[in-house]
Amino acid sequence: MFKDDDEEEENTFGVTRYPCMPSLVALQQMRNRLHLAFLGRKLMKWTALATGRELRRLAAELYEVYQGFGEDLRNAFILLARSRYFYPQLNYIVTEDIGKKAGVVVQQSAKTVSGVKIVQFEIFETEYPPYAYLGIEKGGQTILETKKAWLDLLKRLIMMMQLRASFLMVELANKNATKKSNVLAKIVIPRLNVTSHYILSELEEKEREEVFRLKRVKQKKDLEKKLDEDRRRQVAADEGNKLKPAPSRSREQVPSRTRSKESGSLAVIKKEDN
Amino acid sequence: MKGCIFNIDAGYLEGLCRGFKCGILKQSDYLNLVQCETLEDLKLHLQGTDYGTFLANEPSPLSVSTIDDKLREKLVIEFQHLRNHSVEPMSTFLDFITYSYMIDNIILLITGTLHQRPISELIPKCHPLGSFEQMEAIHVAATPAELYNAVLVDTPLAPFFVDCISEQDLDEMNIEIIRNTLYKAYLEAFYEFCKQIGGTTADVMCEILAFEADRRAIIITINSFGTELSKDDRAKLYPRCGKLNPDGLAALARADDYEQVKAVAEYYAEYSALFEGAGNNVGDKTLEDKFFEHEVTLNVMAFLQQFHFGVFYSYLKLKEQECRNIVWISECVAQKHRAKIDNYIPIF
Repeated sequence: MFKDDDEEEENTFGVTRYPCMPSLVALQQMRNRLHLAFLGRKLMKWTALATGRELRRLAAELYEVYQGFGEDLRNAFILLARSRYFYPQLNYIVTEDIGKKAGVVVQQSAKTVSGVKIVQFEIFETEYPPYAYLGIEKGGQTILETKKAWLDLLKRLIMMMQLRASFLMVELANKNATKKSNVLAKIVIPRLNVTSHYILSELEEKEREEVFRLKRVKQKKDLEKKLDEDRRRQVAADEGNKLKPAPSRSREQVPSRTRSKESGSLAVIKKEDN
Repeated sequence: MKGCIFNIDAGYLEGLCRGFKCGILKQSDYLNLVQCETLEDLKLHLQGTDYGTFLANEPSPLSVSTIDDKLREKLVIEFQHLRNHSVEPMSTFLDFITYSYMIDNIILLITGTLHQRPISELIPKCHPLGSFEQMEAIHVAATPAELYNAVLVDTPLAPFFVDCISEQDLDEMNIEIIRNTLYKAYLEAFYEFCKQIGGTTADVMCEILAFEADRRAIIITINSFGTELSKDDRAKLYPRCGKLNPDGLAALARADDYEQVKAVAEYYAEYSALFEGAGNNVGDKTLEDKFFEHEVTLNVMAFLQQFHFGVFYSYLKLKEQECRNIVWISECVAQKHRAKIDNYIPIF
């Protein structure tokens, strides 16, 4: 589970890098982002798996609840017709006497499942059952059975609704999670990798340039030194040939004059010496 | 009353009633109806019976509620014809029959008024046989007590209210309890009236009404087991004009479950037979089905005697049972749920 599609080197086809200044700071940022992206992808992958499992479980439950629904519905209607057989005025009395307090109450609560907030319905039968004495003198037993059948149907409908709503939410979460995990895996992480490579290569290039520059500077410095030596030897030889003149010029001045005549690169050498 | 005197006032109507009775659907008609695949087929089969083209002007697609309404309309027209042509004491007898529908209508109107429903919407839902003049005036009242004082005192049902319900009761009682209390008073009054007429009418009607009273007592007891109805309240709903009065009713008032009720019924031969065949399993008939069957048998037997008012009552009840049968079969056909389509009660 942790090894597959971690081969990000193969996934870098066609991805562009992030625009950034190649520097150590940027490299550190990219490394941070890569770490976060890995974490995020792991989380999304886990979420997608969990929601997928939840979806399958919900689908099985939905199937069960839908199973006998048609049959139960038909039975309920026939029971109602039978109640009307015993008590022909049933329809009018029931529709005119609708209770003011609900007989069945549904309470909504939220539950978190695999990171998704789904809605859960609790069905309560209150203490106001409707039509307490309906059909007490004729048809009572059948009416009681009809009441039971329709109450069961109602509960089943509420269950169906709850399952369907949860299914839709979990499916949405699943889609989101898979999308995010795909994006991270196929786009973000490869881009970060490419950018890191770019920064590294840029830094290396700079390093190389720096090394080369230093080399050249050193070369030049050596050449300078050599020239200087030669001249001094020449001067010494010249002076040795003539008679000793007045030593007005001090030795220190000569070096400083020669030094100031040269370009600023000598200043670098001076720094190096120091 | 003797046959010769009876026919002066009621002979034509009894003949008419027996004619109507011959048009009640037979078992063969029901077998045809049960085999229908759609409601249009059903309509076609009904055209061959006494119902004729009663559904001819209905727009398709046909619905079960339309069939129900039209069946009832035909019955109402026939009954109102009988009522319009009758004289005392038959007119009072027929009025008594309509009081049960009036009770249903009043309960419906009270329920609707309590929920602030407009009267114009409630009136069409009332049973046409139970309409009375003061129906339109009901919306003036806001509570059942007001309703009683303003409107119901003038209706023929006022004595039923007076006997058993006071004003506060009306406001506090559950509507179904009010209905059953009224019905109990109505049944007892009807029983007294039939007894007072005497003769064959008393013979036939008192038997039927006694059964109705006992049936209500038993059914109310059984159906009250899961509810909050106390035993005393329950005992107040038992009509006292049946065979169970007084010992059976006292025993029923003490009963706690189905077995005890069955034990009470053991003492009365006809009722124990009904409990035998009933059960709550899938294939069995329910207890109420058995009661309905027995009622149909009693009503059919009423036609075996002549020169009494019982034929009108029995005809109405049998026609109602036929309506219920047809509506049940139509529902099964319309919903294509033929498992229990044979759960109707054939009359002849």
